[in-house]
Amino acid sequence: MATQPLRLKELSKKEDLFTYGHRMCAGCGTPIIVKIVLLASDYPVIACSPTGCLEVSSCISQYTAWKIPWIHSAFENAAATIAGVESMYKALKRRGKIDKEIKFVVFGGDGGTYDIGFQSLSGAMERGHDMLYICYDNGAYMNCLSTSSLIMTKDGIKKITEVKEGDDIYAFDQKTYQLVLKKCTGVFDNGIKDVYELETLHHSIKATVNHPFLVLKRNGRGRQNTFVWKMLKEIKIGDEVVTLKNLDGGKSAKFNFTKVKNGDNNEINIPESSSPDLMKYLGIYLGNDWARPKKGEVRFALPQKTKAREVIMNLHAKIFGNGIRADKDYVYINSVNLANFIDSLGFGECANDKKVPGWVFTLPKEEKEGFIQGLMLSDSYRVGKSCRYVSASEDLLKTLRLLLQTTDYRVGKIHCQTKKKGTKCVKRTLPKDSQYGYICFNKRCRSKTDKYLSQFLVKNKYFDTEKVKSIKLVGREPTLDLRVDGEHNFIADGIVVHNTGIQRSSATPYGADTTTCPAGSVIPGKLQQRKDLTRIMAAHNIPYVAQAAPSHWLDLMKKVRKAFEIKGPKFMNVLSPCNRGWRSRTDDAVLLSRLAVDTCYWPLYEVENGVTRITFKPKEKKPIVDFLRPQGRFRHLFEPQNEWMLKEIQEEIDKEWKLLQKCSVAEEKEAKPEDE
Amino acid sequence: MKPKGWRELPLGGVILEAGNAVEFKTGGWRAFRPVWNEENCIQCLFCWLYCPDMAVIVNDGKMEGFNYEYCKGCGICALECPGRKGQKAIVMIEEGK
Amino acid sequence: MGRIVAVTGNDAVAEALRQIEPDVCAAYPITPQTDLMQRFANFVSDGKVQTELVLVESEHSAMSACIGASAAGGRVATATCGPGLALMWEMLFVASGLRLPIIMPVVNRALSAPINIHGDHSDAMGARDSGWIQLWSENAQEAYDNTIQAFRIGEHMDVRLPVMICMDGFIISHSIERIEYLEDKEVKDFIGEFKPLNPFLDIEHPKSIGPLILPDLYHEFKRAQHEAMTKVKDVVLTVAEDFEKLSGRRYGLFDPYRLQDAEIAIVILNSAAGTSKDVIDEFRGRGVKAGLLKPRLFRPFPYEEVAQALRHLKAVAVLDRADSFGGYGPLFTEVASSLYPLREKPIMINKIYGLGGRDFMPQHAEVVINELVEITKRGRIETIKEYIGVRE
Repeated sequence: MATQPLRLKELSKKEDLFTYGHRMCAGCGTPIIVKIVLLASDYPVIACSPTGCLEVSSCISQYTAWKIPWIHSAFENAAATIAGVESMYKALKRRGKIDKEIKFVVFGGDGGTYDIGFQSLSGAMERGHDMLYICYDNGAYMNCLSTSSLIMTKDGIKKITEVKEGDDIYAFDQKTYQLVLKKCTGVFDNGIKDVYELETLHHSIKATVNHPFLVLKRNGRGRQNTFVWKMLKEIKIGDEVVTLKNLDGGKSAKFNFTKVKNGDNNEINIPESSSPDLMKYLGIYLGNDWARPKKGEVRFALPQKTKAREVIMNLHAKIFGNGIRADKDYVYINSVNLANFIDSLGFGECANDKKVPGWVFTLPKEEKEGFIQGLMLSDSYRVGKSCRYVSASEDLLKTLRLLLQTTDYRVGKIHCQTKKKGTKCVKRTLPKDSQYGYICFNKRCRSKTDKYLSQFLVKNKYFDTEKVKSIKLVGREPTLDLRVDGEHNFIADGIVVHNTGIQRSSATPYGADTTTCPAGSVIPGKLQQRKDLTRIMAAHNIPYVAQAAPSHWLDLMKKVRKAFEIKGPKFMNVLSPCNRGWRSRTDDAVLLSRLAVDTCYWPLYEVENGVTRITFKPKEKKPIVDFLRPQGRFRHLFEPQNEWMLKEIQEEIDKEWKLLQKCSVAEEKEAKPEDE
Repeated sequence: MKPKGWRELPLGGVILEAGNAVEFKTGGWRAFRPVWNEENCIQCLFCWLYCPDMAVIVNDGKMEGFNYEYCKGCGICALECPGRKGQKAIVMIEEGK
Repeated sequence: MGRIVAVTGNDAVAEALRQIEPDVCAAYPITPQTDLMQRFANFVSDGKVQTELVLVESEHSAMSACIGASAAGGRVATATCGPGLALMWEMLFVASGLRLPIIMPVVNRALSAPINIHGDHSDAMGARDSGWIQLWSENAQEAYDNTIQAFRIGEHMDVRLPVMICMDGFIISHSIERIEYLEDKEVKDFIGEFKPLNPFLDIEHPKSIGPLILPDLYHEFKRAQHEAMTKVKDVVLTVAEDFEKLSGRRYGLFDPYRLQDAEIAIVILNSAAGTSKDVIDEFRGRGVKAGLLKPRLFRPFPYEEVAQALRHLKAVAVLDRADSFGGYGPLFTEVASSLYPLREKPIMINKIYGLGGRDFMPQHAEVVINELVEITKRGRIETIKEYIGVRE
């Protein structure tokens, strides 16, 4: 078959058989491998993938990124499925119904190849089907929350996008059922995914289908109830999830505010730390008005004879001293200092972007209460037994709801209403239709615990359980996930959720930290050496087995071409860097692939009819730490008590490389520069 | 894509329009975007080769720029770019700047 | 007309497969299906069929390879039983979900534990929710006939679903009976040329099979699958009509034996029905108005037709050769569901018999019919579900 030369300029003219629009993570090694393999082939290719990253992200709902015929049936049987296709091809060819030469390829992850898929792979190879099995090996099983999620941290609530590595996060201690603080060990961007909203009576959260939640498992009368992790897709209406109802008593906030030197009411006294009175003042502020630092003005829209005005006048005098003026509808303070001070506290500027800033969550109970009372005085009104708070700012309602929930209040969900144009609002009429939201809340009553014994956590100080009322698809949103040390869970939007993970497979390298073999204080990660699948496949005595890496594209392409010219079963193991599971940078997939080859962690070789040949010898063999250092999953190996593991790893690599060189035929190719 | 009713579904869920993932624009995932400085480009085409999202536009063997509708901003192209005389032909800048 | 031979059930089904000559057959041996595939393998080795026989390393891979082959665009068959069917359970749902007309004779065998290689219905009953069409066969002749008809039924354009043909392990599969084979050409003409739907090997029109579907669309897919199942009954009857013209043997949705004027009846599947029919005749001889209903199409279950056939009876005993532990036998549940909408319905009892190949003897049927007679006299029952033929 006349083959196209392997030159990038020529290859770039070929059609993309794996299109953009797929949903693999930014910087993933696997689509690079698929692209390179399909570019190398001059034959039409039919592919099969087992369940895995590639399958789920390339063919989802009614979209497919494959421009070649592609099939997926299950997790453990890609080799058997493609064997079936290849058999039908042979049968139809024999009957004269097909005359084209077609190549059959499997693109399978290491999970579906080394572990659950091993049996069908071995069977298919033994039977001699004419197929090429390509394993994209990223060394683990590699799931998220919407970026609008609010996380409980030591410094108050933060949007998940604001959480950083090293932050102290609140978690649920799964042994004592108490609130604990744990370190965040990583933040992951999972891209845009389908997001579902889970709603309970008082809480709601948006997450993807595979995000685990802590659910109560009732084990029956006389037995201890337990908690189990269930993925969102497994949760049923009526399941009880664990929610946060109280935070630890906090400390008054300290303010670091310096007054402006020149001009203005220097007699204004700015307090150094928070107090219940100040919080009440701020509560009223949040409800009612604005501060204009540039103009040096703070204004409250509180008409005469309202209770709120009385309170604010008293409080102002108590906290700040003098300087407050009033007319029929408004109360003013002209003070650059006060305006700046309030602005610095983070409550937002105008009606639409107000919110409860994170630090309010760290205050002691009395101060939080004061704040809530201030809010109730200003913008809420009683409806029956509960209070209703209205606002145009969704952020404010969300943060307020969380604050109320953790201060012994019961809160309903956020309702929307539209106020039509022309409605009177304080002294103005609305110029157009405006969207408002409101929440209803009331104090949690000290219930007789006997009545609620079915509520498993009723005596628990911090946590409660709530029944799931609905789970609905709400759309596609950017998603993020956190890794939390120790308990591996955190509290998002008041609900206890798991950090998703990266579980070990038999391809996971020695010493790696994954969620199912975590690097703890006693066991430092995975203690088993990874399976050498390439050599296992070579022992099947199939005509061609090879190891390749995407950074060495020419070597990979040559191997694919060689494989396609051979009849019978072929196997290729290709390293696929995964920045999520490896906890490396988004841009270093190719770099890590190159380092893997140069450190001889992933030697490039082939076994053709039983004869081993190294196809690339690194110019200079680098120490293994060069490959390990850029990866977060090996970070714990660089602690002093784990130095022995680094030595072991280097020794193992050296041993294997020596052995490989021994069995390799003398025709080793010298290190060739990969660029032309 | 509008969700279909059960009568409109293809038999067994088979997807007959190969490669229709192009209808799903992933450009919105970016936090950083690649910018091409033509004067430093030696037309090695590594950016095109290593882009996981096929977002580097190459016509007639020549690199011409990026398809920002799909580029996820991973930065592999910028890192792998050899550039000319030590100056990269691709740099990553913050999206929105 | 065809040849008359004396062969076992396995031989007969293997012969049917030889005459049909599927394009691909992927199978794994398991007693008592083994010599069905062995016989077929002989045909392949002797060049009597051009079928691509793939001897896979497990039943799960057998169904997976069948799925790949059927999607590729050709006629596919396999066979299994008992724990083998249980192992491929995951893939049964995939086959029906992908709407692939794979044909599979199932030689009914008990499920472990304890491990038992003999015949009962727990295997196919366990797969009744898998979306496969199920045809049950009393004897080797029915197994042969059902296998041939199954290809027409599964491949019908209104249906496109996989079909399993059930026959009792050892009792039918290994016993020699008198069978009438059709001519090779008759069979080939009857089932016709395979018409592929969205053939995967058509590389000019590449397609993707098996996408990930989320909660916003999965429910609709299953509704569509349910719709296909509603069309099966009519197709089964049409195919049976054509088959009668060809062979002279008549088939329907079930076999009503002396049921029309009966007062009491037994509902029973497969080979034990044959035994029971003799007992029915005996009782008729004594003046007892007994009858029998032997279901043939179990999935989709013909609820209305069964209800019509049984409504006039005073008492019905449903005999199950499989149990749903903690519930009633599967056949009982279906018959009860079909009678439920009627205002007047017969009293029903459920007997579990013959598990793990335990023989079902005429005396067992006698005991049941006598009990039915008692029930019609007393007008009530002591226990609904009972195991019969069991040592206390």
